[in-house]
Amino acid sequence: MFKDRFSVLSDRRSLFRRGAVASGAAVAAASLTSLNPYRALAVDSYDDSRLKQILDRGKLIVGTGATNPPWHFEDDNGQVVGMDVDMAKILAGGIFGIETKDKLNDEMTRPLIEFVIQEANQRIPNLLADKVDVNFQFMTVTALRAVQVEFTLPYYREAATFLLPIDSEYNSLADMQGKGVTISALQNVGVDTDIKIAIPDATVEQLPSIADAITAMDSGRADAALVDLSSGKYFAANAGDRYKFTPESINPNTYAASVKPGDQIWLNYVNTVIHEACVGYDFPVYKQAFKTWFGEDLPPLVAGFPSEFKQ
Amino acid sequence: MTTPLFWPDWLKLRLPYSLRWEAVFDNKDVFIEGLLRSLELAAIGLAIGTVIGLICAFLRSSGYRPLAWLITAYVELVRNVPLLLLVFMFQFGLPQVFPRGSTERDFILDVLPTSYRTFAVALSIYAGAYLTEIFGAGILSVSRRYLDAGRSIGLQRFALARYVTGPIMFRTVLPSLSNTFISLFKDTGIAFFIGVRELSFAASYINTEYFRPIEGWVAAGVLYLITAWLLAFSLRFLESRIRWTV
Repeated sequence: MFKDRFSVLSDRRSLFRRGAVASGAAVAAASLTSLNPYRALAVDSYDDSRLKQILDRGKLIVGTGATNPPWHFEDDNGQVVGMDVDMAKILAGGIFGIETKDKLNDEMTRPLIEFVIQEANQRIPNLLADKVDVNFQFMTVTALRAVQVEFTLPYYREAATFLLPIDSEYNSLADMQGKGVTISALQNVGVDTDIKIAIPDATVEQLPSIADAITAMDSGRADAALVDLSSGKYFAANAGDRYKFTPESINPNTYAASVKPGDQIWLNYVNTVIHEACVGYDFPVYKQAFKTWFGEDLPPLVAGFPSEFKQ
Repeated sequence: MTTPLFWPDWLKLRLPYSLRWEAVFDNKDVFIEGLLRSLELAAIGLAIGTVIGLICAFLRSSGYRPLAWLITAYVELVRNVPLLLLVFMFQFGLPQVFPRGSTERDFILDVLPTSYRTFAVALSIYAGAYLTEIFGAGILSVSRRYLDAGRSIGLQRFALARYVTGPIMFRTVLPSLSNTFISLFKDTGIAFFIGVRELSFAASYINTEYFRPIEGWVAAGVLYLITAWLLAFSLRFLESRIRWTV
């Protein structure tokens, strides 16, 4: 009996040794072929995809912010609301089979979503670290960002404008030239360059959030704050005559959701939902959200030839 | 893409992320400028803080009650509030107390025109509170015998502080001063929140400009570590080399 035990042990040991050699060889072989790290991430079966995980979990985890109206901000009850939040609701409603008319219904879709509130510069790290399933956080699509994350189809086309105090001596971009103004802005890609192109002699204060940038303007630390055109309109309309914005806007750019690279099934799914919200069956709820947050009525969709192609 | 430095090839397999240190090396200037600015801010904080600390500590030990209470209030208020809050108050809060265009607000904006200046002032006041406590403890540690000896040769209050309490106290508190300098150096990371372009800004800049959070923060972390360690090492060396004549 003892003999058996020892033989088992020695067998196991040799097995371990063999295993170690084999795995060492595998590592060596793999490093010789120098696999792209994304290869290890690639998910090609439905069972491994995030879509399945979300369905099993019964909850969609969405990365968003809390300080940028009308995209994502806290309402009077401390709940995060905004256009990004509504897009997340449309996505969650799609995953868990909520009817189109109920997708923006807070009681139906909010329990299906867990919002992770993050700063703008945490969007990519949190996605890569699996802290969130998808980011709906007014994320500008850039080629460089697309190296690290995968972008979905766009759901808005944004530009930037300069927010000013209502009694500011400046009214337009032209007024601010050559005055040595200070512009506060969210620390963001290329923001120094973008502002210097519009106002060559400006001093740029880069701050961690839009709210900080606007606070800097409120406290006289900056003459103007660089904000999204949609935010500028929202503040001018909803902040009780405290702000105005320049008629000129700069940097038109695309807003899209982002997902972790390598999961084509999940990416396709989010793409489908966003596409159908913008030009398909869910258009009524997208239109409703658009009206709520941007104050604009979208024209109705036209039947016939698909809007994706031009004739 | 060049092969990342300092990273063995086989480790790459385990990372869902390929490291690209070029983002850091191409922006050496931002990091070096940031590091120098951090050191500068820490030095300013320590210098002004020491002056504040010395004055407050001696005034508090002078025995005039209302003044002692006032200084205690300052120390307790500043010490028990996060530095970030102090910095925000000076940068954004203070000017907003007064309406736009008022002379008071313009005065504040004239005195503290840049985020750099605001942070230097806030850090000095913050350091002052800590140093008041440190110097206070140093003063208490001076034995009664020395003071009696000083009085017996006819030294008045100021001379006693200058020739007896001061030198003895300074010897006691020197290690704490080095510690304070190092922790002030690390505290300068907070300046990034109001837009000062110091070392943490450099890391965050690499994150937002190149979406390389790990590379940026690791580089800043290494720089903080090496600099703080070098500071500690050289200050300890200095402490051991100073010859005490008292």
